[in-house]
Formats: sequence, C-alpha cells, structure tokens
Amino acid sequence: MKKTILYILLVLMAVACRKDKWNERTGIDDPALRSNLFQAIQQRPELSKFAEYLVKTGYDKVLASSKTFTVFAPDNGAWQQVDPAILADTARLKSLIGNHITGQSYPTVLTEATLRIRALNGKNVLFSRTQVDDINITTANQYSANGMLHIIGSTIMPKQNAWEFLNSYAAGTMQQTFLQSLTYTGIDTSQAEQIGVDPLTGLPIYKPGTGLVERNHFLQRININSEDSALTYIILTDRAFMAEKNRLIKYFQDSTAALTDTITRWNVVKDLALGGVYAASGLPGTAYGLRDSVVYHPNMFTVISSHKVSNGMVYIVDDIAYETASKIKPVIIQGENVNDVRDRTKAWAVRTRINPLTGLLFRDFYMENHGISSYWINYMPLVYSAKYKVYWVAVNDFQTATFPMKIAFKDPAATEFAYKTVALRDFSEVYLGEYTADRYGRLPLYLVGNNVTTNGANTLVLDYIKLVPILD
Amino acid sequence: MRITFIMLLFCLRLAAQDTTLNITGTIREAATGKVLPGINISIPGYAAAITNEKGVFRIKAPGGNAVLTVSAPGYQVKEIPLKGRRKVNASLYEETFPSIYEDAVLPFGNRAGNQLVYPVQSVNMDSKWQRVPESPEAALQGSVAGLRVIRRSGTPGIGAELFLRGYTSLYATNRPLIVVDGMIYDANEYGGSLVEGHVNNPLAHIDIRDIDNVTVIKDGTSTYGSRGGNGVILITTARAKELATKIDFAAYGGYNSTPAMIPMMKAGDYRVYLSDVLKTSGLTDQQISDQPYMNDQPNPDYYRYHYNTDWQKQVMKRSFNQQYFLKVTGGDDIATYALSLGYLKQGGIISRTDLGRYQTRFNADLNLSKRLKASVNLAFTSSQQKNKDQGIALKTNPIYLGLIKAPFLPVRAVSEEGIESPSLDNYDIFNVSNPAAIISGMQAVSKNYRFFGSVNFRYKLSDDWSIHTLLGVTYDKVRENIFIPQKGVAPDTLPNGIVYNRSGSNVERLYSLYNDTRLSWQRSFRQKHQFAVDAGVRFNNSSSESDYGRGYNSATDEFVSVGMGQNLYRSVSGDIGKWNWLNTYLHADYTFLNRYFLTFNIAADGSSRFGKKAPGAWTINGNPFAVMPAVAAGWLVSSEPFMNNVSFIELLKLRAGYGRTGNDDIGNYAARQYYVSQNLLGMQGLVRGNIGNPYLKWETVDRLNAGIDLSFLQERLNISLDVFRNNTWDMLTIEPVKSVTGFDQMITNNSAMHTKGIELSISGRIVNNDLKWDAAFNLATYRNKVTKIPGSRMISSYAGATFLTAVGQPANQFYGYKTAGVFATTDAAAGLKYIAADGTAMPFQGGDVRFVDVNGDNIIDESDRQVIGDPNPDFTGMFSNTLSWRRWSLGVLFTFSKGNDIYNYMRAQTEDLSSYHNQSAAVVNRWRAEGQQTDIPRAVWGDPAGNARFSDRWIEDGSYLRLRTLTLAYDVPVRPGALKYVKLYATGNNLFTWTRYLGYDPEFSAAGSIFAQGIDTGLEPQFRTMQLGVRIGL
Repeated sequence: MKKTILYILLVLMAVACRKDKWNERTGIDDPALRSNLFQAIQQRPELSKFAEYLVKTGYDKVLASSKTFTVFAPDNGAWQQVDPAILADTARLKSLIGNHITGQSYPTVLTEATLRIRALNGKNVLFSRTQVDDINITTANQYSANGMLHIIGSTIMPKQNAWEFLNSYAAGTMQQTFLQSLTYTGIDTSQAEQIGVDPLTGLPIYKPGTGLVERNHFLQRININSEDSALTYIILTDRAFMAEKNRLIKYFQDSTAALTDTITRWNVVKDLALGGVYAASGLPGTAYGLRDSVVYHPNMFTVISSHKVSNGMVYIVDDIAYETASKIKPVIIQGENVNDVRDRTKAWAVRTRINPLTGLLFRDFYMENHGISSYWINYMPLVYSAKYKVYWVAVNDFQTATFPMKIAFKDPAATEFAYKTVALRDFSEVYLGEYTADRYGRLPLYLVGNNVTTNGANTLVLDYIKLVPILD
Repeated sequence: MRITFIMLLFCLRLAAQDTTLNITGTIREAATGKVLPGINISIPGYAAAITNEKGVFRIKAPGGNAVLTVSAPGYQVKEIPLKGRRKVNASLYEETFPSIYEDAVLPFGNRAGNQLVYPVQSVNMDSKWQRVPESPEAALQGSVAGLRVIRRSGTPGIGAELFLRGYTSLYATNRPLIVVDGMIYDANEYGGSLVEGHVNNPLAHIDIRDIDNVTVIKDGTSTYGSRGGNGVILITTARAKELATKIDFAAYGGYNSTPAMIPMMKAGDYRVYLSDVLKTSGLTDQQISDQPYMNDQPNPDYYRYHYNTDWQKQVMKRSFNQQYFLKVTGGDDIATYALSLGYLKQGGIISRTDLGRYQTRFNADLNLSKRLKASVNLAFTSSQQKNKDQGIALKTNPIYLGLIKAPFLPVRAVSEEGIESPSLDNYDIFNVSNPAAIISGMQAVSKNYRFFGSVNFRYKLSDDWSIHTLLGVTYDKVRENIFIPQKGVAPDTLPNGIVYNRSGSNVERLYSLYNDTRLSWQRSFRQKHQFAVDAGVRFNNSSSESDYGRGYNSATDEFVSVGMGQNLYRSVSGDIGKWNWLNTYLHADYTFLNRYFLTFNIAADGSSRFGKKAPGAWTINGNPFAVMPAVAAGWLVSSEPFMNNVSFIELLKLRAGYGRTGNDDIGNYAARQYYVSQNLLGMQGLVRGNIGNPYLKWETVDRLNAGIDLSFLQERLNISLDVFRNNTWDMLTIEPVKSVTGFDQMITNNSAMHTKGIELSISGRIVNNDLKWDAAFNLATYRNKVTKIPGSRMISSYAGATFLTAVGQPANQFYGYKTAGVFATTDAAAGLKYIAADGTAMPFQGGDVRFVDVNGDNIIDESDRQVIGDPNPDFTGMFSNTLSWRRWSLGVLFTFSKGNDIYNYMRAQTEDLSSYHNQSAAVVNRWRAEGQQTDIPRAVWGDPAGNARFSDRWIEDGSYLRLRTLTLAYDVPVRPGALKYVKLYATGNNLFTWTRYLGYDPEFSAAGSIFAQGIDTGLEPQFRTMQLGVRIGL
C-alpha cells in the first residue's frame, strides 16, 4: 500500500518535472516582453496623453494586435505645443497619431545614416540613430512583445508632399493651374464592378460609374504625389513661368497658337522635378531633371523660399538655370527604326556591328540588290521648330565599290540635299547640310538610294541620322 | 601437450586417494522454513537420493570435494559443495527465483550458473506473458549489465541498437551476434527502407512469448571467430517441458498515449516573430504589410490566415493495440512439440501508423532411436506495417512539419467566407507541406516475411562421444510501397526537375543457409576431473538482393505505382551481395574438483570477404584464415574446504579470461575491385566503384576480462562485478586518398582503439515470507579511446552535427562551437567577426550569439571548434523490484542513463530564428533591442552570422531515469476443471521519464553507426502504453 502511495507521488513528480524543464525556457523573464506596445505605453506615466489619444483614435487596438510596430511616442509636454484645433478634429488627430506609428520594429541601430519609414497614416518619417524627422529621441529602444517604443520630445506633424504643397501654396498659380488642368477621370478596372463580358470582343463590361478614379497626366509620368519618392520640386513664380514659356515657345510652334501654347507650357513644367533631395543650404552645382535628364544648375537659381515636404524639398524659384541643349536635345534617327519603305516586298537587314571609333555596338539598316531606282526609306522623327545641322553615319564595310545616297525631308523627291557618296569604312558622322523645321511635331524624313537599278550601286545603309538644333 | 598429460595423470592420482563418504542433511523451504519431502539429491553419474517426509536425505559421496545437486519440480536447482562436511542443510527457493545456480544456455550446452568462467548473463523471460508488444532486443533493455539497448524510435517493432560493452568498431557493426536455437539469426536489413527514418527489423519477427531464455555472452565468444567481436546473444525458444498437453491462450488490449507536446509559439507570437524575420530579409514595411497573413482587414484571405492550429495534435494521436496468442505444448515419449500462433495489431502515435503481424512457430523434439535424437525449429512470420516518413525528411516528416508549420494556417481548405471544406489545405505560402496531408495521403506500407527454420540431429556414438549437426535456412523478404501525394505536400526538387508526387517500390531479399556440425566428447574421471571438448565447423552461405524503383509525377494522386510516373524522372537501382563464412572451432572445458575451471576456445575463420593478401593470416590454398584463440579460468573459492565455516558466503568465484575475436563486417566486396553502373546523359556504362584493397582483413578485438561473483546469506544477496578491456586493432578506416586516383577514399585496416569498463550487478531478496520482494540493480560504464587513426584525427558529420575522432579521445565526440550567451549590444560584439557566405569577414552585431574564440584571432571559424559533448553515457543501468504476495505480483523496472549528451537537431530547427518555420515558445525571449539581456539570439533571415550553427546551444544532457515497465499480475482462483488457471495482467510501458532533455524523448537512434548516436532527428518518440491482458490455461 505504501508502495502505491510512493508511486502516485512519483507520478506527480514526473508530471511536474516535464513542465518545469520547458517553463525555464518559455517563461518570460524580461518584464518588457510580457506587455504589448499599448500596455507598454500605458505603463509610462509620461506617455499618458499619448495613450489617451491612442484610445481616442482606435490605434490602441492596433498596437495590441500581433503585428509588429515602432512607436515614436511624444511625451505629455509635447502635446501642449499642438494646435488644439487638430486635437479636436478626429480625422486630423488620427492622421497625427498615425504619423507616430510605423510597421515593423526599428531599433536605433542602423546600418544606414537615415531610413525613411512609412507611418500608419501613409506618410514617411525620416529615422536616424538619434532623431526622427529632426526630433531628438529622448529614450530609445524600449522593446515590448510586439515592437519598439522610442520616446520623443515633440510631436511629428504630418507633412504635405510636393503635390499637396503645390496645390495648397499661394505662389506659382500658373504652374499649378496648368498641372491641375491635366487631371482627368480614368477607370481602374480592379475597382470597377464587372457586369458581363462583351460577346464579340471577349472583353469585360464594367458597370457604369464604378471604378472611376481621378488621374493626372503629369503625375502618371512624374509622381510627385508619391510618398516613396525622394525629389526636389521647383515651383516657378508666375513671372518665371512666363519668362520660361517665352523662351521656349519658338521651339514648339504648331498649327494653332493654342496648341503651341499648351505644348510649350507642358514642356516648361515637365522637367521641374529633380532627382534627389537637396537642402536649401547646400544646393549643388548640377542636378538632373527626373523626366528627361535636363541639366540644372540649382546653385544659380533665384530661390524665393524653400519648403520641406514629406517626399523631399520644394523650392519657389523666380529664375531657373539649366542648359538649353539638354532640354532641346539633338534628334537621332536610328537607321533600323524604319517607319515605311518604298516597296514593302523587298527584304532588308539589320546588322549588328562594332564601331571601332567608339568601341560600342551599333545596329544599322542595310539593303542591297533591290533593283529599284531611287528606293527610299521613311522615318518620322519628332522635331522642334528649329534650324538643324544634319549628319549621318553610314558604314560601307561590305563591298569595295562605293555608292551615293541622299536624304530628303517631307518628300522623297525633294532636292534640298544632293546625293552624297558613302565612303568606304567611314564610321564617323558625316555633315550633310542644314535644315529648318518650321513646326514642332513629326517630320517625314527619307533616305533615298541612287537612281539606278544596278546591284551594288543603289545599296542603302544607315546607322543613324542626327539633327542637331542650332540654339541661339 | 605432454605437460598437460602429465598434469592430468597427477590429478587422476590425487583423486584416487579419496574414499566414499555418507552424507546426511535436511532440505527446507526458504520462504517458510518448512521441511520439504520428495526433493531429489544427486551426485551426477555417482549417486542419487530423495528426501523423506521430514525433509531428511542420506546419500553416498565420492569424497569431500563432491557437490550435491538439489532439485525438485517447483523449486530452484541448487548445488551444495560438501567442502569435507558430512552433514549439510539447505533451503530452496521457488522455481522462478533468480538463482545463481540457474543453468545458462551456452553454445555447447547448458551450464550451471555457478560454474561459468565467462561474463555471461542469462535472462529468463519470466514476465513475457505480461509485457506489451516489443521486439526481443528492446525487451532486453535493462536486463543485462553492459548491454546498452537504445530503442531506435517509438515505432512498433522497429527494435533497438545493441551496444555490448561500448564500441569495438568505428565503421563495422557494433551489434552482438544473435543466435536463435543454435543458428545465426541474420538481423541486418539488406538495402534500406524507402520510408525515411524507418528500419525493417528482422528481430521483430520473434514474439517474446516464444522465448524461453536469452543468454548474453559478453566475452568468451572466440568460437564464433570473426563474428564474435561484439559478443553473442543466444535466444532459446520455448519447447515442451512436459508430455501432457498444455494450452495457453492470451489476449491483450492496450492504449498508447501521445507524449507531452513541445511548447511552440501560438499564432500571435509567431506573427510578431515572422515580421522580425521578414524585415531582415530585405522586404520593405509595405511588402511585409501586404503579406496576406499580416492583413487583419476583411479580405478574401482573411479566414485562411487567421487560425490558431496546434499542428502537433494533428500528427500525433493516441492509438490502440491488440494481441492474441495461442500456445499448445505436449507430446509423448517419441515426440514433443510446442506450437504457437499469434496475431498482433500495434498502433503508433504518429496518426495512422501501425504494425500488424501474424506469426507461427513450431518446435519439436523427436527421439528417433536410442542414439539418434532430432529437433525441429520452424518459424514463419508475416507482418505488415503502415508508416510515415520520420527523421530528416523535411518536406514529409509529419513530426517535423507539426513543429514548424505556421500556426495561423488551417488544416482544411477554407473559403473566402470562412467555410471549411472537407478536403485538406494545400501546402502553404511558405512552401511547407500540410502535415495532415502527409498523415492522410502518404502511403508507406512494408510487408515483411521471414522463414527461419532448422533441423538439428544428435547422434550418440557412445557414452562419451556424440555428434551434432544443425542445418537451417533463413528466407526473408521485405516488400515496400510508398506514395507521397501531390495534394498538400510541397514539391521536391530533383537534379533534373521539380517533382510533385512521389512513389517508390522496394524489395529486399535474404537467403541464407547455415550448418553447424560438431563432434563432442564429455567425460568425468572419478568425480574429480570433468572434460568437455567440442570440435566443429560452421558454414554460412548468404545471398541478398535489394531492388528499388522511384517514380515521380504520376498524372494524379490516384496513380500510386512507380510505373505511372514520368519516364524522365524514374530511377531504378539496387544492390546484390553474396558471401560465405567458414568457421572451424575447438572448445575445451576442464573442471577439477568442481571448483577449478579452465576453458580454451579457438577458431579459424575463412570468409569470402577477406582480402586474398590479408597480412598476418594463416592461408590455406591461398585463402586467408583468421585464427582466434581464447583462454579463461575460474576458481570457485567458496567451495574450498577452508571456506567451510564461512556460512554467510554462499558463493565466491573469481574469473579471468583473455580472448581474441573479430569483426567480419568489412563489406562483401570491399577487398575486391568492382564496377558500378553509371548514367551519363542517358547513356549507361560501367565505371570503377572503388579501390579494391586485397590486404583488407577482419577487425581484431582482443578481450580481457576479470570478474568476481559473490552470493551471501543463502542467495539473499548476489553481487557480480566485471572489469574488461577490449582492444580493437586492424580497425576499419575510411581513409581519404589523393584525388588523382579518381576516388575520395578507400577502406583500410588502419586504426585502433580500446574500450574499458566496469559492470556491476546486485540482486537480492529483500523480504522473504508470504510477501516476496526481489530487487535488482545493475550499473555499467565504459570509456572509449582511439589509439590510432590516419592523420590522427577525423571529422565526420551527420544531420548537421560534427563528430571528432582523434587519437587519445573517445571515438565520437560532438565537435562544435562553445557559446557564452548573446551579445546584448553591438558595441559588446565589436571586433569579433564571422566569415560570411561570400568569404568576407563580417562583424557580429548585438543579438548575435557570442561564440568562444578559441584561438583568439577575433574571427569565428572552423578552427574555433572544440569538443562540446559526448553521446556516450557516464553510466547506464537498471533498477527493478518484483513483489509477489499470494496471488498478486508486481514488477517495476526502471532504466537509466547518465551523462550522455544529445544534439537536439529538432530544437536546432525550431529555434534557428532564421526562417518562416514556427519556433519554440522560448523564442519569445529573443533579443530585440540594444542592451537586452537574453540567451536567445535575434531573429534574422538566413542566419548570416551562423547563430544556429552546430554549437553547445543544441547540446543537451540526455540523462534520464525511466519507469520502463510496471506490471501487475493476478492469478484468479478457479475451480479445477476445464480451466487450469486464469491470469490477469495490467502493464504499463514507458510510464514516466525523468529527464532534463527538451525533446519529446531522450531515447532514439537515427542509425546504427556510432556517428549517428545522440542525434534527435525527429523520429517517432517513445510513448506510454497501458495494457490489460488475460491468459487462460486449458
């Protein structure tokens, strides 16, 4: 009987033992890991105001969930400097509180100097080893079960991005008005409700009025509204805008004055976003436009004011400095990019060669033995209304006999340019003459072969034609 | 030779001087003190008597050195050395008492326990009717001091690794030779199972209820020559003991319960861990938030990723056992027989796994004539086992998957509305299989058959001379079919493509012919000199074949055979082996005055495996023979006349022996040069498969043993102590060779080691009256040391663990990095670097593990490894109690192992902090921020700093104490009639285990090699079984 009791005791011991050995490991010794972020914030009296606002905005439940966050918690003193109007406005308060919480756990040990991290309100904050958005972190790296808590001395106000700034700022109305005029309503098929399929085309039919979204032609090309971009944006004062427009208008002459005006305005604004964020104190000598790599000299700008935005910097500029040649660029017509040919039944080749002058690979257009006199190839380059110097690169490295070719604008029979013999193995640009384009737009350009039908004498070859605008 | 003869004559002369004595005495029952009438007293070959109603006997003895043998049905056998006395008294214990006089079964016949000169332990399977189904070697666990039985896993019938007295070999087998009813029982599996982590164990074909006796011969196995190097286990199956027909029927039902689950992270903690890991993988915050499992807003995937599943419970389920066993014995003067039939259905705790077995055994003894006797042993068994992958099968091992599978995922497919489908969920976004799909979809069936039969003839030429011959056949077949479905299982990658479903088919065959013929001579001269000499030949011819095919990508999961797979991926392979063994032996026993014992054994072995130019071998016709002599002596001090007055000493015996044995497990063809087929871009050809080594020979094991056997107070306390030293030389080595040979390695006999140890057994009867309480305790320890190895050190690896084998140290030590916690800050880690995957030195950061920089170069690399653990135990042993009281009896057996280290591979996988895998609950304590004091490193994708490398973080103390079996038996009183008896049994197996080990269970063996010991690869753990049984005698 005693034995039975002994064994029962042993059994109890056994059960106890089994639990113990893991309890040592799974038990959470570190009190910080026993509470989630919200509990950790609640436990700190200096964050009581923040905790209160978390509850008010519903972020308390978010922070208590099993996702990971980093919280930049402003202490109670920080809230006294906040406009009471914001605190009273639930939507703005939510945005403000959301600006202090980011996903994932970010300790201050960073391998990078700064890190742009996305707060829950969709804005980015700039995080460094000691600061967040230029606010010093007073107590760092307070870990908890689901993330990291940093305490800061003032609130991080959500910043406008460059697009929001442009739309709200008083100066630069011409630029603003023009960009806003590029807004249109498009359809986002992922948001639209499909109600059927077109029996003829097989394409989906969407319920009218669904999936409509507002889009902007400019933003679709350069999204200065994106929080993840990092750019410097130039807003021209109305005076600068007009000056710029007047300077460029001669290159964009079109059929009507209205068309000319719109195209010119587009060409003024399209290059005003610069890659990189440049502080007002250190504007560089050279910076590049995001769209067409226009070469700017920001240190020569007449800056009226500068503004920090969530995705970079915005400068209000009364005079900009850039290289016109980088804006009105030479037009290069690649030989292989054929638009049309005289007889489409004839075959031609695209060759790949190495240019011994540059050491680079190039591809060229090559056609022989077509048996047609004055055979032509058509190209449709986009040209500015300007006077050009015309060059070609045509390499005859395939036969010993030479042959002539000519170029013609608008009509293959035009005779502004005479036939010119293509020299043997000439890889250089050969000057052909000057040409003035009277209008901005597509310009028909022809490469015309010799007016004989003899094989070998009417060969056509072209690497490229280059139109170099003669700028004032 | 001449000297021996002269000594013999001298002895004979000495003996002739004795005169006849009249001896009287009284025999009593030890428990009650009552006198016993009708007890047989004999001096074999001289006189016999019987006790009268007062328990008194009277017998003539040839002299003062004679020994009386006392026996009677229902009582123990006892020997009484006269030591010159005229009046002797003795008390007898009941038949089941573990007596020192009990006969041990030896290769050349039985011998009384008190006369043994070798360390031999005889195990009577007294509790066999009560035990839960186990294969015989697993059932031996704890019974024999020095026999370390490590059950391979909890899988029914999978058996155990046997290490007798530590190790004798690095690469050859360390398993003792198993001999069943005089015939070598080939317990190897030829070819490997297609089921990962599974072993088809031939010993599982033997039902323990068919076993009468198991004798473990730890030393003195030289007559088995080059197969006796690891000791011998003799198994004797049950035969008819009486002529009357006896029918036993037993039925059992059992319940297997799942082990305690390992605490893993729940969905909430896991998701926080996951975002920590994902953040370091280079994903942006937005990308992490966009993962479906991070989205808590209503969305089509919401339900699918918001479960909290305990996957361990999906793969491990309780199960049930049933067994029926019928045994009929009986016969007449001419023939006796024992027939047994059994059926077994035993569940595993991996859901939907079990073992089913039908077995029959027929043993008969025939008196063909006065001189000719024959016995027949026939056994046929068929079993069918349903398995699942285990061990390192990272996509298909349900136990592993049950730990690492993300807890927020569902078992079953879930619709966008959160409705569960009856069908199981597919493999998940992390490319982890659904463990439930393995459980329900994976088919892995082994069908095994074994016929093991022999006929044994004994012809008596004269009173002294006899001739024996045994002829036997083993035929064994394993058929396996596996299929791993596409549904729910992550695709696998082959060198030539991605495979979705997998099938396999495997056949393993063994045919073996065995003959043992010997001439025996036995003679006793004047009751003083006893001789027994046996000379014989053993011949064993074996051939094995294994063929397997693997198929992949059958059209649907309904096509499960190899032929249905795509031709492109199908592979067929196999193995074939034929070998012969010829063993000639001579065995001679000499006993003088019943107290001085001398044994001489010698064998000369030929084998088809030995190289033709084996150095140091005797050659006959150019064939090398291994010569293995042995000698041992014993002195029964307690039988000396001067011990006459020391009545409290029942027995004192000193033993010593030296013998040479060998190990022939050197590969069938390693001594020859062979070719293997090779597929090169679709063309088949033959290429050289090895560097043949014609000098290859057996491993030689020299065994030195000394022991003392003590028994006090009429066998109330028995102590046996042995010390041994095994020297292995010419030990098999896999030696690296220069790359110009076109091979990496060749097999040579180029290393040596020794193992020494101590074994202690203590047993006794603590209470001896109406209540009988027997207790036994044994303890064994060994120390191993490598003395020679090419290059003086060698590193081998298994499952991510590295083992160091170096001269002067134990053969298989864990070799890795030592750690000293976790860097609390990056500043604390300053200066220390690791070598990144691209070869550059990178600095450690806060939260990385602080590895010990042994050489002080501030770079943690391979040269900083050191010995971090040893899978060999300090000691192992057993403690048992048997209580019987009237019709009740209770048996309790504890086994223990102390000081063995375990590499917890499974924990290394579940605390690696570097992948999508779910982690153990301890990972909540991981390092998260500068200054945090913790032992768990940071979570970082891909583990660039190698925090999870093989280090002492994963080495755990594998010591355990286990309540191995608890049996309660009750003999129901029945009126004599149709029923002779009814016995009820309640049995528990693996009831409790006390251990600090963090895995499911500290006992497992991933492979038989010593370089796989102590590595927890995620095999089915040992589990608790509770069983009720009834046995009816008709």
